[in-house]
Amino acid sequence: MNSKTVTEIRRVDRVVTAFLNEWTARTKHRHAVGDSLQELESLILNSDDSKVELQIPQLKNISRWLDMYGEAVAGEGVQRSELEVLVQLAEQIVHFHGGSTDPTDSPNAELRSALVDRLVTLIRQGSKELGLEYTPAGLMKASPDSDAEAARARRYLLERLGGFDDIKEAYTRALEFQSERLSYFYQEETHLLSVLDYQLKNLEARNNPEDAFFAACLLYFLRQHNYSIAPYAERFKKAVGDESAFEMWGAKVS
Amino acid sequence: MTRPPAVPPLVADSLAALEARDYERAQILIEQAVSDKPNDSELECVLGAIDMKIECLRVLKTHGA
Repeated sequence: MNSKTVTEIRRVDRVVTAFLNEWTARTKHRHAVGDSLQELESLILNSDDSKVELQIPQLKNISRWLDMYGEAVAGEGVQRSELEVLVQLAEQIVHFHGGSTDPTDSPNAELRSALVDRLVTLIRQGSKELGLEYTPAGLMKASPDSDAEAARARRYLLERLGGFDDIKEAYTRALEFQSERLSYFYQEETHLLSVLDYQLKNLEARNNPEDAFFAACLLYFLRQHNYSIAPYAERFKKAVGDESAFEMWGAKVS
Repeated sequence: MTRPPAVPPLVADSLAALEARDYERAQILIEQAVSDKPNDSELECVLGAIDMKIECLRVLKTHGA
């Protein structure tokens, strides 16, 4: 074998070795991230009763996890499936009500809120890496307004920490949600049917009570004004499933 | 809850073999992992690279290079 061939084989060997080393490092990183997310999940879900407040030691453990693994999970090489787990866990923390009518009175509320803040910051960071934005409807393809939208998503999560003092207050917040969304997302000239279409897309991507209520209000309002809403109503019912409060209207929509 | 894709044990073991430069063991483990998940193109690609690595080493050793 001549020296030129040997040199070429060595070159191929170096390329292949570099590839294998890189793959090994990346796969090990993914493995470590998966393990650490499972650890975080167990820290948050140890208490499976959503009315039970996260206790100080639990919160401190979550904070420690963020110190140790936060950057690794949401930094370079982040994967969407991993980010989705973080989103779900952040929302899980928000759902801990402390068994109190006013959970903001809980001594843990401030620490819990700070953890949500950190998680949301990580989610925003990871979203940017992936060209996504964190919206109330979940992770979506980024738009030029992604920063503002991420800030809004953070506010939305933090607002939910306050809980609902009573049903009237809850209703007011639901109306404010609609008003804010109308002003934030839509141009003045955008027709309400287009707004409804976007709300339904949100719902189809991810069912949540605020979007469902908004879409239901739009449907009812448009029907009151003699618009044909049948196809939209069908999409709505399909998106919210059997849990819909829509059927209580008892009216045929067309 | 949606979980991130876990690294299968066979792949985890093959990582250790690759780090130890035990390419033949890594090859066997990846082959098994590929047969567990027939459509895993990423593992197929890694298996191809390991094959190539072993062949390079064999040729260089045979010719004392």
